[in-house]
Amino acid sequence: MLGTINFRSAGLIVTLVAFAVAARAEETIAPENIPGVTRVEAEGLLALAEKTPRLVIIDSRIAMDRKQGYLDGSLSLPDTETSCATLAPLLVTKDRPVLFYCNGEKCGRSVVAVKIAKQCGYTRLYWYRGGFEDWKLKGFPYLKK
Amino acid sequence: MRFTLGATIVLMGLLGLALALATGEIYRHQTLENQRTALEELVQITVDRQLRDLEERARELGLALQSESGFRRALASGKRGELADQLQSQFRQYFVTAGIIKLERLVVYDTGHRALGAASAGSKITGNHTAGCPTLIDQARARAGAERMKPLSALCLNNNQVRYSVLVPAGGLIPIGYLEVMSDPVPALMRIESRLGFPVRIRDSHDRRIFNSGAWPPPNAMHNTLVAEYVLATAAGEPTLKIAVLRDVEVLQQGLAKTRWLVMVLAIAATLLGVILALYILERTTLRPLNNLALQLRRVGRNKDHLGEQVTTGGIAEIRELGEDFNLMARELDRLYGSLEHLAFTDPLTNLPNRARFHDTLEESVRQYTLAHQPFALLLTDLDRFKAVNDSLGHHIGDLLLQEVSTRLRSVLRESDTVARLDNEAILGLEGKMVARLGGDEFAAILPRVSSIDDASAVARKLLLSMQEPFLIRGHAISIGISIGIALYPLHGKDIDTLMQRADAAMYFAKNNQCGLAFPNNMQQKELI
Repeated sequence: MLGTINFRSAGLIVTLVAFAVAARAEETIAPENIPGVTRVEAEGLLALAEKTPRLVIIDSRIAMDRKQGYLDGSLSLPDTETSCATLAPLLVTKDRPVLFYCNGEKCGRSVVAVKIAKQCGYTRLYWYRGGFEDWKLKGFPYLKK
Repeated sequence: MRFTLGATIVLMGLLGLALALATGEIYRHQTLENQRTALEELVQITVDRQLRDLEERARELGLALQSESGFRRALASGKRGELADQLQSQFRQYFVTAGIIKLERLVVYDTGHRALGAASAGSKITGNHTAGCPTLIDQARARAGAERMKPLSALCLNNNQVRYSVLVPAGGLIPIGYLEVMSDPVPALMRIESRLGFPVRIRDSHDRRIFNSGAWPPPNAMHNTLVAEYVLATAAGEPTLKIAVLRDVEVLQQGLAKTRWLVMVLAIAATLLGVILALYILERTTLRPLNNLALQLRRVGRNKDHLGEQVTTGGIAEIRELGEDFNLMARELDRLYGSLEHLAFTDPLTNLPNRARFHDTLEESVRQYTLAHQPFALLLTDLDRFKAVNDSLGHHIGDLLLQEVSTRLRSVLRESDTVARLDNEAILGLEGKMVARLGGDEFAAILPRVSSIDDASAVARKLLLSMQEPFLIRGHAISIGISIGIALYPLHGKDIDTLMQRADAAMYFAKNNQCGLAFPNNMQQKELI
């Protein structure tokens, strides 16, 4: 009788722990895709930049992170300051192509920002999931000023 | 034997030492080689790292330069003069003034990788002549798409000078041209010294000195050092720079030398110990036991009385066996000797001592007198009318008779172990007494410590008495008597011949006068039984 109780309790504990781990992981890893948003990677970003001259690239990181380097031509707008009011002067029209990025897959800022943009009604949304980490790793140029 | 063994061990020791030293030398060589290889690898890794650092900085400089709005404008407009001016002014960027990069040249290209302008430290260059690193441009031209955005770097020879160039895209995410940042890599490579802590020497491909660390020792002080050199080559394989790093291995050499000394000392000590031990073992197990055996042999050789003595040799099994065999032989020889002696000194018929033995005993008795003042009495006797018995009954009966007579005589003497005297001073044990057969029907007796006529007479009378009983031999009853002549030593003679003579004469007197016994000087003393 005592033996079966132990077995059941152990199983319960293991399940709980697994859920907790998964839940925690979900907090720090950006989702694979965001509905209504086109996900791009580094090469895709370059191709996009070439085809879409009106593309606005928004850096959702805080100033301290941005100091480590940023994409040439990107604008700094931390996710904490992102709102319909702050987006409007940068994008002007709702169909302005806009790309958000932050540090990388462990960073949730660009996720937050792009979702806000979507809510504000912007239609041509792009998101660089790999972020600055991926950009730098691949050897693409960045500025530091 | 000792020498052979000792020499063998020393030889083995020397061989061992030679082997150890050879091994040590191989090890030393191997260690140094390993150190050199490790050092070479270290140099290579450090050089690569320095160049990577340089690439990173040059890239940063390049990207910073191309982001200047003035530069972008000039590049977009395509005005070469303006471009050149722009480039020129950039030589004052902080990277350069802070000594992080030794900038040599800046070259700007259009999107087709054609040179638009260049600037060197101090002057601007316009026109078309090759200002940059050709291999770099060739490589750049081969790229397409997103690859063009990635940096490109190359080592090349520009006017026989070694240069390190980095190409960056200019214009942001959509390149409108390229900027080549060409620097002198030597200062960056010089920093290897502070990074590794080892002296550095940099030479060009013709072995001309470019940089020598202050700590680099002069050529005559180069022993105990290890030098590892890395040849930096362009992508095409042309050697450009030879970067050497020096490591002081004196400590290592000293350590190895110390080890070598230690090995030598240990080897010598071990050999000596081995020799001593071996010699000691040899001594105990072989030489000393053999010596024991040899000593015994010599002892026996000097004095045959030692024959028959057993020897314990100890030592190794073979020698112990030898000892046992020796003992066996010694016992055999002793027995043989005894037999020989016995044969030599015994009368075969009667088993009594023979004449030779008798004479020896006589001499010994005289010696005893000289040493210990021990007198003795000599009795000579023969059988009366023995010849007649022999003639009538035959020699065989005669022989048997002699045997019986011997037996009786001997038993009488044996019984007379103590001859009591009136004053109760007993003559204890007539040891050393003997009765011998001199030959034919002659017998003799020696009575030690008998010095008086009375004592000698008493014994003689006993002998005479014993002869009274007839002998029963093969059915014959034979009555036979004896006559005894007695001479006392030293009373009746100071030497053996005299004594014998006088005893003999006394005997004949007794026989002729039929008085049984007689003494020399009192031949008048006759006694009738």
